[in-house]
Parts: sequence; C-alpha cells; structure tokens
Amino acid sequence: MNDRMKKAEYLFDELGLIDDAIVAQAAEYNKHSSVGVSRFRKTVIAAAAVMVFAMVFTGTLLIGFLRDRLAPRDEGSDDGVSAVYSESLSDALYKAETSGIAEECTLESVDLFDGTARIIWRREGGEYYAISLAGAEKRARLTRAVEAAYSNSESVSDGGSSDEVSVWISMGDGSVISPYLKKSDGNVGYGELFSYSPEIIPSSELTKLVDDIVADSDG
Amino acid sequence: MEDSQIVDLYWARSESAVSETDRKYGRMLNSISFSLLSSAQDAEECVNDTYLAAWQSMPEERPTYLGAFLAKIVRRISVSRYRSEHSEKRGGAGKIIEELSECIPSRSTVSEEYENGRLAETLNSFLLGLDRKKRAIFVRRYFYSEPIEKISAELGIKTGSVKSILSRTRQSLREVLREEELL
Repeated sequence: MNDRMKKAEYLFDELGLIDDAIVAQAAEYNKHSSVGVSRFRKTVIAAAAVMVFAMVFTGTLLIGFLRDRLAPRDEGSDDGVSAVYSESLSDALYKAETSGIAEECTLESVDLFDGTARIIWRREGGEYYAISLAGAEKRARLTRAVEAAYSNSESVSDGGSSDEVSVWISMGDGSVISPYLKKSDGNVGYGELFSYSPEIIPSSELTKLVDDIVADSDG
Repeated sequence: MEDSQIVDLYWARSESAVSETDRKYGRMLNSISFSLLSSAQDAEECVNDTYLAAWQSMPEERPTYLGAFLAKIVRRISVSRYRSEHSEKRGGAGKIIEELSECIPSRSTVSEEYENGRLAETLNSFLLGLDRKKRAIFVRRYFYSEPIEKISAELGIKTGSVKSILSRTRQSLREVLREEELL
C-alpha cells in the first residue's frame, strides 16, 4: 500500500470519529427528506389543483361577465331580463313618468347645451319628459346603450313595437340622437329635438338603464 | 422504543437491551458492516460484537445518539476485520478508501505527523460547513459506507448526481486539507 492509500485509510478511520450529531443527522436526513419531499409533492399537487379549479372558475365567471358586458344587446337576446326589467323602452319610460323621477318639461325649457346628458321623450300628443343622468357611469352606460341601439338589427317593421313614443338622447353638447334611428347622416341632430320615424327597436341596455335609474330613485 | 429507554435498559443491565437495540438498529448496523466486508456472515458477527461492545461500554457511557454510537462501533469493528481478513480484496472498504485517496493532497509529505485530533476537528468543521444534503450524502457514503445506488434511491437523487456531489465534496475536502496542511 503506497503512502497515498495509507493516508486515505487514515482519513477513512478519522471519518469514523466524526461528531455523533453529524452521524445521526445524516441517517435521519433520509427520513426527513423523504417525508419532506412527499409533503412537498402533496402540497404542490394540492396547490396546482386549487389553481386549476380557481382558473376554471374565474375563467367561467370572466367569460360570462365579458359576454354579458361586451356582447351586443338586443331584445331577442335578453335572456331572463324581461322578468325583472321592462319589456320595452316605452314601459321603462312609463315607470319613470309615474314614479315621479322624470321631469315634465317643454320643448323650450330643455337646455341641450348645459352639459347634462338626458333622455327625453314624448308620447304622441302628450307632454315632454326628461331624465337627467348624473355621473360618468350613467353617461357611459347611455353611450353604450345608444351604440347598441345602432347595432340592433331588429327593425320596428319586423314586428317590434313603435310604442307611439318618440325618444331623444341629448348628450348636453347640442348633439341629439334617437335610439329609434340608425346612426347615419340625417338621423343625428344638433340643437333640436328633430322629428323622425322609428326604424329600429331601442337596445335593451337603454331599457335597463332607465329601469335602473327608476330603481335607484326608489332606493 | 426511544433511545433513552434503551440506554436505561443497558444501565439496568437488562438483557432486553440487546434485543431492543437489535430491533431498532440491527438492520442499519448490518448494512454498515456488510458494505465494508461484503460478507453477510462477517457482518452478522461484527454486529454481535457491536452489541457486546455496547454492553461493556455502558453504564460508563450514556450516548445521546445511540444510533451514531453503535454505528461508530460497528464501523470500527468491521474495518478492523476487513484489514485482518480482506486486505487483498477490492471492493467494500477498499473501494471507499480508494475514493477517499482523492482527498489526499498530492504535495503532502510521507511524514507520519498526523496531527491527531486536529484532523477530526477539521473534518467536523468541514462537514458542518456543507449544506445538509451534501453532508448527508458524504457521511452516508464515507461513514456508513452505503452504496451510491442506495443513497440515490433513498434520497431520491439520480445516481449521477450523487457521484457528482461526492466528487465535488472530495475536491473541496482536498482543498481544506491542503490549506490546513493535514495529510
């Protein structure tokens, strides 16, 4: 045996004298690490499962939410809403009239340039009524409702109700539009509540908006 | 049974001390001895000698870590038997010692000035400086003389990784021994 191997043997012997605690820990390491790994794996699997379920659940909610918020709304796709909301814009406006939140007004008294967004309507042969929309949220909803009305392909002549009521949306800057009309040249007025013939059915969004305004005033 | 209870049995000179020891540590002690001797019969004899040594050493001693205490005894007895009966064989302790020769700095002299005590202290310090995983692998290989495959299987680490960790740790130990001018 050469000198190198003798020293190696000596080192081997010395390793047999290392601290008891180190020897014991090395033996225990297997047990601890095995349990640790097992627990770690279980934890990872459980966490992954929770994450998957959470993602699916959140995804489902998100898809539903986005579908609800982004999909074009029309009367035909208004699932279940009719039971809660008015079936037509005319009904919603009627609620507003009878609940007292709509202000009776005259053509001259409505200021179309005062910065306040309004829904204005008049039944055939009747008085003008107006609802002022306070707050950016309602104003945004009004804009969406009007845009939805423009995309509504169901026309009055398709069987929808003409309701014998004329409706205008005043944005407060002089521009006036009607949810009964397609957005095209000549159908968007300025500075006046223009005469028109209904072409399409207003969006359910607008009906809901009016319903919500009435409900808010009740609450 | 807890270690302290087994030690109490030794101190009480109860014969059940040996049977309880064998029940708890018999397999581990056999494994150490067999790894060094590559003989089941020799290993069994060494383990029995270990029980006898433990019986004789207590009650003077009261080991905190009974497993480590017994492992040291069986290791010492097994190495001694290896040297007396299997010195010509490769494998077992011979293979492990050959691996450890990599830790011996090449420039060291042939002098016999092994600084007793200082080397053990350096080894303890070196091992405590390793992370738990590396320390466990190193001690299991060079104290318990466990086969690399067994370490790999029980710790859930690839064989190649165990070899790699052992190799790097040996090189680190080599550097420490050279810096300390030991061996």
